[in-house]
Amino acid sequence: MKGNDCIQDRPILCLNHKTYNFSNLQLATFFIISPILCILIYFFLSLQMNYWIYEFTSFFISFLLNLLFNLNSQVIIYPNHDIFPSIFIPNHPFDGAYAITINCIAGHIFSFIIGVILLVPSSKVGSIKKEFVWRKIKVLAISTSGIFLLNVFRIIFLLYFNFKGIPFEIIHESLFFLSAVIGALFFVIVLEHWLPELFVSIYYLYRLIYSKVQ
Amino acid sequence: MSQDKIRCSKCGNLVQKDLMYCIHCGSLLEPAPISSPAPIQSTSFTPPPTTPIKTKTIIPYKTIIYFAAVALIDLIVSFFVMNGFQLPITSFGQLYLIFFLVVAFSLGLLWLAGANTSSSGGSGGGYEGCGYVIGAIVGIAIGVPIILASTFSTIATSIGDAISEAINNAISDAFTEMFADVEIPGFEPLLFLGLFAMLSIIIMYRYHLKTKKNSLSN
Repeated sequence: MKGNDCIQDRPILCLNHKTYNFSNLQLATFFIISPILCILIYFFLSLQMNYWIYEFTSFFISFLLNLLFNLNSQVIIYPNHDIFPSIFIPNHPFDGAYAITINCIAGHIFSFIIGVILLVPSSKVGSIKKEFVWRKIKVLAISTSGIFLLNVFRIIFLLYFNFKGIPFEIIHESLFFLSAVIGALFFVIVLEHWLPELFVSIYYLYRLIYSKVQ
Repeated sequence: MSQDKIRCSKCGNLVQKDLMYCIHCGSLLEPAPISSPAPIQSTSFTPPPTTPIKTKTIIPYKTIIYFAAVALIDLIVSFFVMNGFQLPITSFGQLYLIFFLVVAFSLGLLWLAGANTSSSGGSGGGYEGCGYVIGAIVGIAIGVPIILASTFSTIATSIGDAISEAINNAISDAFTEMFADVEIPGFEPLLFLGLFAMLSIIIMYRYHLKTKKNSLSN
């Protein structure tokens, strides 16, 4: 009964017919380790062993560009894997070559999504571990694939509009604003629907601090 | 069994009488009858049948309309810029701040409108909520960076340069196999993260209102 006595001392939140209670260790793990994990994932994505991600994204973009707009684009892969792959569009009014870097494949966003979702704490009360892990996997799959597709279509329209004569800087920033808004909204909706523990844990920390201060 | 404990109607475990929720299964505990409590059979207890709670799916029309409006404004501004219109700003940092300013006040107005239509009592809670939201968003996303930037601009620049140089050196030292030009995330992820933080604040404020309502009704 020692553990239950500890739970009784802490606030229990009741939201949407569910109860939530987190331990100090869970909250500390989430708020301290998840930023570090995000940075480590970002570095991991930059490693040469992950060249296949850039390669796959470039080929996917090139395939869709040719399929949708018939631009005859080609992917340039460097055999030593020391330079980012490029997409080349012939008969281009400007340069026609685009390097697909880590920011182009939204590496920072993926790092953030994976790092945060992996360490979301589960409630100590009224939560089934198996069901919680399944929800985490579902959110990971949906959010990463959704953001990947959103980013791919952003690049496709960016290259197409640039090919049509719109300056790169203008169309890049404009499409970026639009896709960032859609992406953030999509991610928040997915999280709130399947993994509300993320927001609840932050709110729980606020309640905990508030109760301690009082 | 002591008198200060009651049995949970869902899982059947004994819990403290003054608790609101069961510490074993988390379900809402029903208050015990005041007069002549019935003896609880500890050996053959069967929990009463519970009816599943039907949750109604609420479509966030206001949020969808809001983001559609943001996208429309984005397209209109892009059209003007493409046709030669120059924005009266010099950097994208300023544009970012203006964007947040517009988003914050629009959200505040939406919140205010929603609170006025939904609250029939007219207690003024909507106005208060609007004030909190605008204050929090403006304070976090705009006020703090402006104050910091204006106060410590030269120091911040030198510190930022030193940090980025140190990170670059650390990366190049630690990972020799890595690409030569690893990009440090700059402006781009900030927009995504800023929007995410802003929406999270709204969701948490909604949780706050819900818990407040629950505690009042109990």
